[in-house]
Amino acid sequence: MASKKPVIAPSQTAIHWLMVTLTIIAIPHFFYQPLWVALIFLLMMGWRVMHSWRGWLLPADKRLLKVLHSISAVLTIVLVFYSYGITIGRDAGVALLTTMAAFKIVEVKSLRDYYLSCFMGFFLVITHFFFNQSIPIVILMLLNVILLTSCLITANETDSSAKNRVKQASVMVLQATPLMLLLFVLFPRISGPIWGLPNDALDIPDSLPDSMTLGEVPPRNSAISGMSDDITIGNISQLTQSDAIAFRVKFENNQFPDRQNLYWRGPVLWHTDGKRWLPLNDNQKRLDKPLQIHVTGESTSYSITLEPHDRRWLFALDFPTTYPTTMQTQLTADGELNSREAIKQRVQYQLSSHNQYQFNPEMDGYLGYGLSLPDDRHPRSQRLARDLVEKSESSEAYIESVLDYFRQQNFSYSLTPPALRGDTIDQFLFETRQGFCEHYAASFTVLMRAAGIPARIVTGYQGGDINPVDQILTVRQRDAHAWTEVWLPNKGWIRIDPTSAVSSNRVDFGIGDLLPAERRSPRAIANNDRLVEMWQSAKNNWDALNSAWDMWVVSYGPERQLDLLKKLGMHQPDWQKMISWLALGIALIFSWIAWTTLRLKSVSQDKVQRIYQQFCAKLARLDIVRQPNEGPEDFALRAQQALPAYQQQIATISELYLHSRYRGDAVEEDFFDSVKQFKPHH
Amino acid sequence: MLMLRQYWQRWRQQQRYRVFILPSRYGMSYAMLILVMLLGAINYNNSLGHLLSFLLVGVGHVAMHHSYRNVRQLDYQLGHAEPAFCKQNILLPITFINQSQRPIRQLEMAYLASPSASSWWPFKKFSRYVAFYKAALIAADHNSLHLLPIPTQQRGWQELGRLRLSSVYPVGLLFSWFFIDINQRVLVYPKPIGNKPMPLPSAMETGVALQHQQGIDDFAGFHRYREGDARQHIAWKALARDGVLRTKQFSSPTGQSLMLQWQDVADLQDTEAKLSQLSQWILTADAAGLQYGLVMPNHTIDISHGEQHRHQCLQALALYGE
Repeated sequence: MASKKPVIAPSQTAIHWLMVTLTIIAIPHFFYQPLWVALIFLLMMGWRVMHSWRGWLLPADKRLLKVLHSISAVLTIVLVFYSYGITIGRDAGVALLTTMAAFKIVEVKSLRDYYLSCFMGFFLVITHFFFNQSIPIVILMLLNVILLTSCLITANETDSSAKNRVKQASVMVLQATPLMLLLFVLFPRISGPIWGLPNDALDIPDSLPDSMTLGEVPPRNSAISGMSDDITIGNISQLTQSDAIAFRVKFENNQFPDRQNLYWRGPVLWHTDGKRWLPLNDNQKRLDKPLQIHVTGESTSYSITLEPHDRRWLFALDFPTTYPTTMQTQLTADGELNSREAIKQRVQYQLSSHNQYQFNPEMDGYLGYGLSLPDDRHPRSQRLARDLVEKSESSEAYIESVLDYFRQQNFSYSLTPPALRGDTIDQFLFETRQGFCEHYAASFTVLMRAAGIPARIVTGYQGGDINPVDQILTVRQRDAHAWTEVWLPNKGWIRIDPTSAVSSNRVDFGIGDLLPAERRSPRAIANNDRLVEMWQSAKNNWDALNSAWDMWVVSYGPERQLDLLKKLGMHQPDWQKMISWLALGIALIFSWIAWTTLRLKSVSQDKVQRIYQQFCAKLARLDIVRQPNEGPEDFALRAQQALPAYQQQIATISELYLHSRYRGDAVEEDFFDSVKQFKPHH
Repeated sequence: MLMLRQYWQRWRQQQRYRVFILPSRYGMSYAMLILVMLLGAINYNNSLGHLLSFLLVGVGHVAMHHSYRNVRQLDYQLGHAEPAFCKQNILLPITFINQSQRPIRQLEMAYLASPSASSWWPFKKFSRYVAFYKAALIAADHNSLHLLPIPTQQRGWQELGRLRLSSVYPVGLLFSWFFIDINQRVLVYPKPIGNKPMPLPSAMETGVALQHQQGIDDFAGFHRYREGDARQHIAWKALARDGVLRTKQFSSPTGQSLMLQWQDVADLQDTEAKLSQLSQWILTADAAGLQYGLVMPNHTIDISHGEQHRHQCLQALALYGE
């Protein structure tokens, strides 16, 4: 009997709450998703709004509408597949979830539908983190969870005010945070993936290109994109537009090398067709015999936290002499430090470098590659090289004369050079003469090779900003740089940065000084030094907070967890120990919440009682302390004797207290007022 | 240690009943949701995904405490149920007492519909409880009286066994409940129905006996509330004093007397129909302020009037054949 339960419909209030909540959750996705996702979402929400406002019919009310609704849902799914392809990756998944949540809202009829919609909302909240893991997004997450919890409360109870329900939800979420933190720290982390990642699981805003092309610089916001542009997008100048973080460096004992020595070594480029520069292929890079590295002077130890860039390069201060132990790495024949796997998540590694070194001083197997130039290209450059060689007595003198050529002719450093056509090197050297590191490194390398000096281009980063708050050096994409290495007998590969011959500021002060002022601080305050200073210090603090956040929260994984637990004093942490501590913590949190929710009446929240306690406190200040066994009347008598001047007031207050507390008379307000006015002193 | 023991004993004393708690259907889905989320977070190495999953674990945990508290803080005082007519509801007075500083919300009462048929499935019994009453709010530090309408089954004594008092408040993910064993039996009168005309009353021989009959003129005291009494005659002040529902009675000094006899309904085939017809006549006679008596096959009730008399007559009908 009565096993079939009647369908319980959620209240209109609850549905409205849920709609508002889902919209707030979905809005951040509209920025990443194509417009039609937002349109479909708002269309469905609009339908339900019109149902509440104007009584429009819902799919459940009419068969035709139901069919229409189902067909549009199916069409949307087809649209998702059409736009994103047949495999459901991150973006397609989010688009699907967002639109389906909206379709579901229109047909919410029973409590079951309602809960399903709420749960879809929780899934939408987690998808935010695939795009952004910053502090604001976590604050938004808390807000969203509070809203969703209040939706769940509203489904069960609509008697109290909306404010009250949100308050209840906030209390619950607040009480949930200790357990969240405990689990976050102690729950044994497993390193994923378990079943593989879709291709678009990573968001890589910018990264160093693996080749270099001189030539036309497309505008950054160019609407054209596709395979053919990939090469030209690999321009380092493009990266100067980007403030995205490449990696962060923490130096041991905060001992920073000089700015001029902050060359972060990355991919090395050898092959050229006159326009494009490419690295050696993987087979060529393989190390047959160990590199000959002779070092002098002190080493610098540091740890690097590298943002994911989906390539295998690891950056290191020129030149790394110890290699990371926490991951599998290898040094290539041309001095690139590579990881075995592509860097798909933020990694941290420790290493040390020597500033003074000799790299293969006796022999290098790749000198041939370091001399090759395309046939019949750069005729004017070749002629220039011949002229300068004739005037020079040695290789060193030749190098110096080329650098002098850059210094003395009217070369200038520019982040927005004129476009180059035809023979790019010749055009740059003899006509435009405006460019940035890429132009100088490439043309210098050509001039070296033309004179028979082996040379190669090293790309990477130069400089970085030290945040005075946490002493972390941050290297951003805009610090991308290219320089040259030449090989001289008995000296090996020597770093020469032709850009510094033209613009010593680039190396001495970093790229920051060369950027327009509004890139450094908002235009509105750029003229006020004090405001710029304040803005800078606020920015430093915010950056330091973000660094700590990225390192300790966002990249908290298996290694970080062991690291932290060791720091917290756990001896040889393993998952058994974590589970034991977790159990202990959960027991404590359980008891704490049980205590706060079931607490007996020991803390009186009764207002009359509270005000009376204020009255007692006022007397206690005059050393008239109410004893635990003393009734209000006895206490009043004693107080009256001690303070004859206030006899009348004390009597009134006690009388009013007894009346409002024990006889239920409506004299509370009088009682509150008289306690407020009671200001006894000796 | 001693203090802990004191707390424990104080705690035990409060435990008049045992509160149970289990995840509801939605709670199970919620757990699945968290599990899937956590797997996703692990797969994508997404640290903040972990954070959200753990926050939801925390919310579930807190919800458990809140749900438990909502039911735990409730105390109750059972009243005595008055007899009811068959097919009407027995009104069981219950006072909910909330001595805590927070309101208690969304209580649901259910009775066990069919107490038989045990099953090996542990919670099968749950589906046989039928929800019949909801109390949306018992304010902080307040008592409130509720009349629980329990359906009658058949005439005669009805055992009021076990009530289940539950709530899914606040988030509907958990179900907390406890049982109230009423241990009362309530008399169910036959349903007052029938279309036979009432036998004509005859004038009293003595002419002295009838002095006081129910009417609307002079206040003559209280009787306990029963279904059908005019609302404006309910003694609200008395209700506030002791929680018993009463009706004010008035008297008017006129009347005739009547003997309702088993033979009068002899032409009805069904025993229940006979009892129903007599039950209806009794109510009509009572409402009209007549003096009446009842002649049953096994015993006779003398002519009289008043609440006690009415009850006596209806009880005789209710228990006929037992």
